[in-house]
Amino acid sequence: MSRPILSVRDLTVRFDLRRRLFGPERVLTAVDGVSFDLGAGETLGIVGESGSGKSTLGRAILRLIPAEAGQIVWLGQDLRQLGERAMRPLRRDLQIVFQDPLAALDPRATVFQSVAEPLATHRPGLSRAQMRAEAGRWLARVGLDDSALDRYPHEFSGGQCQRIGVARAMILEPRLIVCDEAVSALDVSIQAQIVNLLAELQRETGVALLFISHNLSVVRHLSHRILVLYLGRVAEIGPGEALFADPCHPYTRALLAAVPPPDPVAARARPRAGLKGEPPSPLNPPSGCAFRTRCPLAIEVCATRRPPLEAVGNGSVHLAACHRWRDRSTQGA
Amino acid sequence: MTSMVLDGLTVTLATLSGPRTVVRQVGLTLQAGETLGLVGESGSGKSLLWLGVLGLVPPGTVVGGSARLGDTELVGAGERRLADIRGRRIAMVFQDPMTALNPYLTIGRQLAEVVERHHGADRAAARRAALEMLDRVGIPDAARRLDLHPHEFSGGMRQRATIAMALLGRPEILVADEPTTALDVTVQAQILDLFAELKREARLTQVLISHDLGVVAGLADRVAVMYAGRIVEIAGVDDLFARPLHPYSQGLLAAMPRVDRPGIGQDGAGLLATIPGQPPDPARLPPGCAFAPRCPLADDGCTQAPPPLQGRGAGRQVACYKAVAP
Repeated sequence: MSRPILSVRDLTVRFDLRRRLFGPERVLTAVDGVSFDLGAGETLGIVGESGSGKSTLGRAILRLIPAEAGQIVWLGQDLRQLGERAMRPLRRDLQIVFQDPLAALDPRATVFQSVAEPLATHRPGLSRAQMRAEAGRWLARVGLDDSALDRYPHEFSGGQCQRIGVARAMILEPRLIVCDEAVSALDVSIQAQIVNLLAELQRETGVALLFISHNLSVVRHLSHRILVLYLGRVAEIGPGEALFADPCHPYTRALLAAVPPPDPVAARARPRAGLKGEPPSPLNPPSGCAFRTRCPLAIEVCATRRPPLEAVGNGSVHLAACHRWRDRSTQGA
Repeated sequence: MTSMVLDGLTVTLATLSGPRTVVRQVGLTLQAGETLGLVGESGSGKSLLWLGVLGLVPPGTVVGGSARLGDTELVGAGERRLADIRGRRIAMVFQDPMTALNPYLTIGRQLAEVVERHHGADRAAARRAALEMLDRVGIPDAARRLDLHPHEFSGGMRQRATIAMALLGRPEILVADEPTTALDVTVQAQILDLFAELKREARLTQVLISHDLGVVAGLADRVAVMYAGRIVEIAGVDDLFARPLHPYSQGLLAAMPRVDRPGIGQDGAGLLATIPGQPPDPARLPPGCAFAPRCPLADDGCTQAPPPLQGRGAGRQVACYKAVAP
């Protein structure tokens, strides 16, 4: 990777849940000391199950929710040190696409108003005609024609609304888009269209993507590198091919093995579910390694010491947080 | 064991803008002991087909054609007969287990009720049966969990509980509608193992409705692909995945990103294959083949009348004028 545009260091996000009367104070650690770099034009896939903190991580990086500790270094400056005023011009480069495209668009605003809204904020010098031309250009780029400009979101299908969401995110030509389950609500044939659109836009504009998804197939397809989150912590991070060819964290292996491939012979041969139970509550994570309660390789040290994220492959691009990553071949989990 | 035969089955919903036919002329034989996968995108009619058969549709819905379970005709059977068949002969499991569970009753009570209602067991026997079944579907520490309420169960355990509830009626057919779609992938793997076990050990006849071809691939014996209310292709699972004949089946398989292959991010592939456009509005279906506007093979002949579902050898049927024999 060339010099990163984004360096996240030890980022921690906690939610103070309302204290129950006479109850103990309850703090949920949603993101727990996450570090990674992202290069220009790169796609980093972020995978994890519900409660892994993947959406919180994406939002905290954009400062849509506050982080408690750590750094979010964007082009050399730590976003956490900036006030909202200083943040505003940077937002031009930092955009997001949400899962539910219809909910993300204002139902009372025309498509033109929604798509052009970022222009009004960040390029106030543009005339209305220029804004319409710009909005029309981006709509055309995402595969909708000009007639969409004066219509309302409810007149469009889910896939079309997601195209509108992508046009809105792209109109300022940002350097980073956080895609938060951006294709998860779409049918397979529409999902493929949006996945291709994102890949093409990245090739044309060099935009970097943080592609957050529970869908490992889509993540594998699109991502240059993949980060696996478990209970808010990085279990493993590495180049897509290395992570799939040699998953070093037992959770990564379990996750990959759990996805049934669309191939009857391979799907029937899929080993029985390696993991029992469900992820523990982030309110009360296990001591030491967060994964140890479900891990087939767990030993004593896993309960007492939190495993550091360490290099497991050539160089320092493939990292895993597991005391027993060297023993990965001893058990098939 | 009984087989089920659907013939010319049609479901028409009453909507504010008039009647809307969402299932059209579906013909299908479900063999005893087989697992049939039913795939299609939203609006394809794959769920409404079964909801219509079982009378679980909004008032005003018209169900036409025939659905015979053994000697019993379900279409037009009336709510009392259908209520007796639901759960006892055909049970259904849904995507969101909370819709199937009563939040006010303990899991044990809800399960026992099924046994009492369908098999006339007394309370103690029903409770024992409920406990055995919870254990059977893999709920750890079932004896204690019997007295918990649904909100005290995790998502995966709730889905196991609704499967247990479905099985307690000792149905001849289990229809599972997107049963793992709301679950995390590691929990999905556990539930798929449970379905595989039911198939292997209990020889239970199952219909597995899913938008996820991977879920269907490992469990189904045969797969039916639905588009705009019709079955467009039905074939043995290996044949369908290896050599899909209908252009829509081909498009659907090709459009799936693959967990088992490198993708564009790893320079292993180009863009995904796509099906242009989007599924039609059921109220405004094109004349002829509903897939024709998106189909790479379509010509004028395709826009005259909908193609019939015709045999193409080896247990395969395809509804397409242009599909080439394998």
